[in-house]
Amino acid sequence: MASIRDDYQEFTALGAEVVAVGPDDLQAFRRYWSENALPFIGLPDPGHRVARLYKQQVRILKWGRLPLVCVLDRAGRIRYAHHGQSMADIPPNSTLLNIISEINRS
Amino acid sequence: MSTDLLAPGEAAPDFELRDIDGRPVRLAAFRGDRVVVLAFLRGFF
Repeated sequence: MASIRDDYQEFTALGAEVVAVGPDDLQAFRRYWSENALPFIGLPDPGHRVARLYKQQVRILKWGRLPLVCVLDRAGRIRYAHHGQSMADIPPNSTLLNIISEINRS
Repeated sequence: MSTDLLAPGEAAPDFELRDIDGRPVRLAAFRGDRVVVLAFLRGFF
């Protein structure tokens, strides 16, 4: 999330908002958001209700939940979905920013 | 990997959760206004 933080202004300049959903509880979220000065929206989902809705993958042998990143257009349609294959498998900001630019052009 | 994953072209399921300040955030509230990067985290620990 620190990576997105560093380029957050580029996301907002393109008319995007970043929303992060995670399995930790409110207290852990507050601590993490404060310690890392994250400027975007953090949503604790300790019951995994929304993670299940979006079919976030869980791999016991890979130590838990795998990252999932989606980009939604202004109609609420999924334009990009990256289901990570490992804990570190997160798309680079340049990929996300290019997709947002494509959405803005369409 | 399951073949039953959400994919481009599908409508993003709507949901509402409370943010770290306790305010309700509904995904549908961004429609017509903002592109949304929706990131599902692995957890902090």
